[in-house]
Amino acid sequence: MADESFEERVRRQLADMPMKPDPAVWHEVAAALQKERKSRWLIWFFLLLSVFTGISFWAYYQFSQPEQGTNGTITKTTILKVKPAQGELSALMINKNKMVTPQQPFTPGIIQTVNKKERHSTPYTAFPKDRHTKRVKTVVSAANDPINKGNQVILPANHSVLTIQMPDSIQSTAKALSNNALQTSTGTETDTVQVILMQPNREQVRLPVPKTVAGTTLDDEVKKIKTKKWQWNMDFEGGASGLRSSLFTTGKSLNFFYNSSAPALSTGSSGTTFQSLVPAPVIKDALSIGIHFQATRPIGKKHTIGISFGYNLFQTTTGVGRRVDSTIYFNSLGSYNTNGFYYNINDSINYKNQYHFLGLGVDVYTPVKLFKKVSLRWQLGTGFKVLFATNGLNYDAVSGSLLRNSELMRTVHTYFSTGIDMAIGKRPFLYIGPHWQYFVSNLSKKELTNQHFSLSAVKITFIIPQKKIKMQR
Amino acid sequence: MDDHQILIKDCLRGNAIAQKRLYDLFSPNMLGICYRYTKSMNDAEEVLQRGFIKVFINLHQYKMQGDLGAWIRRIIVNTAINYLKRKPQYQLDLSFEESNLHQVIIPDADILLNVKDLLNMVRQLPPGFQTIFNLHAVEGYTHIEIGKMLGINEGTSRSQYARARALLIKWLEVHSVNDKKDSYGR
Repeated sequence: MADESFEERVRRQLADMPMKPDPAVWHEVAAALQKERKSRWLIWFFLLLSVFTGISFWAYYQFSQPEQGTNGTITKTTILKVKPAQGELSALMINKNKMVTPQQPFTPGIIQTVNKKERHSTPYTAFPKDRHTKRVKTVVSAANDPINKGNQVILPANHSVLTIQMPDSIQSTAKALSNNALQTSTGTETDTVQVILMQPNREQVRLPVPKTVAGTTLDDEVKKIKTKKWQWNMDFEGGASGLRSSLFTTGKSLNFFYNSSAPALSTGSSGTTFQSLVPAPVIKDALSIGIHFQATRPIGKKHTIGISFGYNLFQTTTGVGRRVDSTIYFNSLGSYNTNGFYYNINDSINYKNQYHFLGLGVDVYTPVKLFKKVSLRWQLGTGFKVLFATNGLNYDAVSGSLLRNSELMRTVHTYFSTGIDMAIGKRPFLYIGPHWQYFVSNLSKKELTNQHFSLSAVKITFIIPQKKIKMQR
Repeated sequence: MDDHQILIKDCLRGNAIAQKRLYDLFSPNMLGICYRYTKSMNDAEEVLQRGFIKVFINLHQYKMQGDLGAWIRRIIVNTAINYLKRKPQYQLDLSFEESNLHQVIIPDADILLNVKDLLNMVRQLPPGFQTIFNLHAVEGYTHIEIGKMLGINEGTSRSQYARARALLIKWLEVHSVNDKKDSYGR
């Protein structure tokens, strides 16, 4: 043993020195593992839910578009491209159900081929640079059509293309309009559309917008309907929520006040006691999720207003120490701890503070073009949220404890939010973008404690497709 | 497949009984380690609790090679160091100066090393010294490794260890002298 160095002796004697831990330690470990399992499951659940909902919306959007009927009739997804003879100008007004139905007098000998092509592929679309013109919206009177007077065909904006080749005899009888342009009029929200033939030289001349019987154009009516109508959206947001002491605080911890009467916890090497060493709990940001329903409608020429309601789960993580199963009165807070326990502040395990909110908000959206190509919208909103359930901990600086008592928290909170959304799709069916939310009101009712929720999240907004409006002409 | 491997697989399946068995198997020794790094049993148990949570969360990373105890021990030691770094009262104060540090090398054989006394003396060292002494003398980490773990220079680790060692030897010397005296101080 005499040859053994000091280090070797120390190692031999101190390396393995078993001690019996308190049974409470295992209970804490088991509880933490249980929470970990639950939170993992929750993350997976909401991730899968979001993906599933996204796919469902996409599928609904895709497959809810009308297509050609199986019985050969033209239905709402069909646009007609009619090839007249060179130099001949014709117009046809065709009843949608009569067009390709063999019983109709118009059909025999008229339709030689009916080919479905890709959407938006028609070369005859009038005014291609104007999206609105492409979609809609002019109905030309069929009064002069000798064949199908008064009949009309449905052609919505999202459509397939049918090619119809007609014998010259029919084409010659179809002469009705004398404009040198093809106007494919599609009513996205009407049952009617008109196919007008043009010369294939593609000269594009805007037709004068004809008046309907009532003296107003269909354009006007569609616009009127659109502006009056509320568009329903559903959004999911996921991100990190945390508590801030002020608007521009970026830190993860708070400026909990340090009580000068707090007991000293440590002594410096010189023997000086430090009152300020009462540790404030470390509060970190944690996962936050939300789901909202929103109704939007245009206001003015540019802006859109939205009214939303929904649910938000805000979470924070507090480092807590040992749990003490006891109910005591906290003088500094003037309150008891609920649920019969409180925690010491030792930053040993992570405690998830969960705050469940129901909210109502108003948002204003302003469209923005990025590089003239990417469609964005800027959101600015405000509203209030009601805290209806929480397991959040309150901090008592005097005793250095964290306790549960939801009465120490404010129930109704006001907030403001802002964010940028990027539109997905030519006719956007989804918006995605970063959003930020800040609670103006203080979470805690205690004086000198500033706790404002802040949320940085990614929001996905699904546009709920609307039913087509049927207009009988 | 040995018992440990079966136990680990059960733990990975989320079997609470297996997790408790693993905890019971290693927690006494690990608490001894935690106790060496901290100043109170309460803090030691905090470190143990935190360390075992990490062990169970990261158990899938254990490659079934090498000693499971050593793997857990490494996690516990790292947890203890992180714990000390974050606690104000455990700040790794390496600026501790004592003008009359014992610089003379005393022959080791003359010092009576009692486990309990030695442990208490190590725990009485200033936090920075205590950590470095534990890491080097007991755990066997090199000064380069200690420097990386604590974010200090290798030289600093080396010099602080020398000071801690000298201080400890001085205390042991005083302690052994006191032991030789009778209750009347003779």
